[in-house]
Amino acid sequence: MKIIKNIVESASDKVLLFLICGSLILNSNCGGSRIERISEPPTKISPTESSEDFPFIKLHMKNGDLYVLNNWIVDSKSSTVNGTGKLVNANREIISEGQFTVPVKEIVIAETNHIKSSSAVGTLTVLTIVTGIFTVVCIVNPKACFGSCPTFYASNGDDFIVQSEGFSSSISPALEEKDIDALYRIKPNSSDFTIQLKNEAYETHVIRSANILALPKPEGGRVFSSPNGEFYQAKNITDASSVIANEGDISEKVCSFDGVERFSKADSNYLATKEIIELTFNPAKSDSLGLVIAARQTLLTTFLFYQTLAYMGTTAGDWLANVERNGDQFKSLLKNPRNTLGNIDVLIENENNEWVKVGEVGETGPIATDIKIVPLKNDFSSAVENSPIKIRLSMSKGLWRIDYLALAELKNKVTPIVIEPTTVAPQFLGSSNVVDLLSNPDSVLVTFPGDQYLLNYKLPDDYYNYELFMESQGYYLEWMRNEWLAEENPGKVYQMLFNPKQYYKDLAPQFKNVEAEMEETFWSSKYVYP
Amino acid sequence: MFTHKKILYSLLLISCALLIGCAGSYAPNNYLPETEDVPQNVYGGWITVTTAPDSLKPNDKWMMYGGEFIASEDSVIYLLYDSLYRIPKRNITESTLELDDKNTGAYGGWVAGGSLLTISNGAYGIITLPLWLVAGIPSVSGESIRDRYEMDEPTQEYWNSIKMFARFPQGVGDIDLSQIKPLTLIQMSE
Repeated sequence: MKIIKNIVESASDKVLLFLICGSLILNSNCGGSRIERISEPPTKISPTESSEDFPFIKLHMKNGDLYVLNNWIVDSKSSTVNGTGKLVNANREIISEGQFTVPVKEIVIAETNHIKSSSAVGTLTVLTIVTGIFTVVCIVNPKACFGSCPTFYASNGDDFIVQSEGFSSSISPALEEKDIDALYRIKPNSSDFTIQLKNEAYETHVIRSANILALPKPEGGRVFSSPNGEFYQAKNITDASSVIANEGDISEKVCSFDGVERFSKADSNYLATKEIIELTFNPAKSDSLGLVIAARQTLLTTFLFYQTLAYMGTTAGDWLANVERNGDQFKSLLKNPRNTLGNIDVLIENENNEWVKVGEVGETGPIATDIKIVPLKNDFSSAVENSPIKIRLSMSKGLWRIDYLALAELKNKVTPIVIEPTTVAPQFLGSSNVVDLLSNPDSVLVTFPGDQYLLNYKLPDDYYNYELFMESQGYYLEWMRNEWLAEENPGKVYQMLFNPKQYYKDLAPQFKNVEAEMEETFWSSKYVYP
Repeated sequence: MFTHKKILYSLLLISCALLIGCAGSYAPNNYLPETEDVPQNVYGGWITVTTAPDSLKPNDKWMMYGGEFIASEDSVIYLLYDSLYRIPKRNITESTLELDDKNTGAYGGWVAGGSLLTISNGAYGIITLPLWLVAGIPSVSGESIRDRYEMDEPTQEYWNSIKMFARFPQGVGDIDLSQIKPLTLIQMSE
């Protein structure tokens, strides 16, 4: 029953069921035939000689005798059928074997059969080859095939769509952290709100809390969270008049939060090579502005994470245990590779015409697109009345997929209402109530690959006046794969921690080899629409 | 998504689907020839018919007969099992004729194995597993029903269309049927 329930509750399982049902419907027309029998009176025998398609001819006689001949030919001059084979009686006992010449006039019915090749064998062979190719690809490069993150789905009215990756950079207990993701495109249709929590990777997820944050929306505006965890009401959200990247104007790609993203390829020599995007906005009336950025990472960090685990190899457990023992020291070391790669830096031009960084945004993970607002300082030179507002984004090439860029007038800071799940299905994990596990800060919900829960929340009665965010806290443990152990190289781990620039230079060619393939794999997966 | 559970469910569903979608064979083991041997096979196909009770015979019952398809005449068919049966066409409510041994089991194993192999495809499994479902299941169930002539309340057109698959497609006119042995039992005992 549990299996059936899981299948019914899961959208993707419904798809599988649909495919199976569909294939069964198709099947009714797929019977076909492989045996083509031609049974004619002797005067109409066609074809007139044996061939690869018609190797045998059977000649039925009036008394029930039967000739079965191969290498046969119809001799029209002598009106005979000649061939080699056997003659059997009505009881199908052999009377004689050898060369026969059978007068056409004695034959009642001549029969030939053509056996067509099996379409099923052809289909299954093609499928096997395709699957085999993918298997080889995955054996050669397992990092391109496996991997995901803790994921939360919310209903958009029709289906559950991925909305949030929880604590993607928390890869050990010492790195546990709280993560806030906007449910920007979700419009609840009642105060009963459901989030689907899934573990879709070879990972153990340890979830301490999974709360909804509700914040009052201003009239005609939205609420955004800032990178440092503050919430701002915002109004008059306007698109850029131009957005210039290396490839040209990309404003069409980033003018709305619609899944159409701008991204670039990583540098071939150094994975932390920066690129600049220049934004120009029409003059704004307000002097309190913020830049709205909706973005997610490409698979570059996924690659780097898995490659590092591969370099840790059989000692991955020791490394992670070291993180636990020396948490602060290790966190500090981990900042080196993280800072080298960097986030999306937001820069504005000061009075001296120098570009200065005013904020940054960037959340780990390639699945869910997160939307944040970066408050802009008021002292940039372009704030002169009626002059366009110019902003630059600086980021590592090939690291970010940018979906949406806009300027917004910041209004009030607001404080969220924290809403814990009221009920969960399934209700229990072992003997523990899942709601209690997620509500009590001293307990955790542990999930394994394939696990999924429906978390039910009770929103305020006037839920439509609130902006919703997913706030999750926890960490996860990546499962090692046998394929990774072959690359064990502790020296490279040290290099990542102490000399990340060289690490990113060394890995650049390796990543470039699989970059397109990883992206293609990813975009063929269920996460096509962020 | 790429979990063993999902693959397991899929295999379970595939198995159910194949059980539902595949047609079983009425013929005894070893009777039907391999498809490639049909052109030189000297026997008729295996026919299975269900007959309704004769309203003029109060003790008559529903019957099912299966055996080698010997011949089809205007109003009767001949079927050979332990002995020769002469069955009036008007009494037949269902008829199934099979010509060859199907590879349903092997193909089913192939589809199940292929689906299982998609575990090794990682993220690509989201493509390859549905491919196996959409193309694999029809291939297997299609194999089970191909070259199988089945009809409820069979018509004269049906009998005319399958007549060529009898041992004696020319009819039994001058043939001494009393000499025909029950080949089915001989073959089954081999």
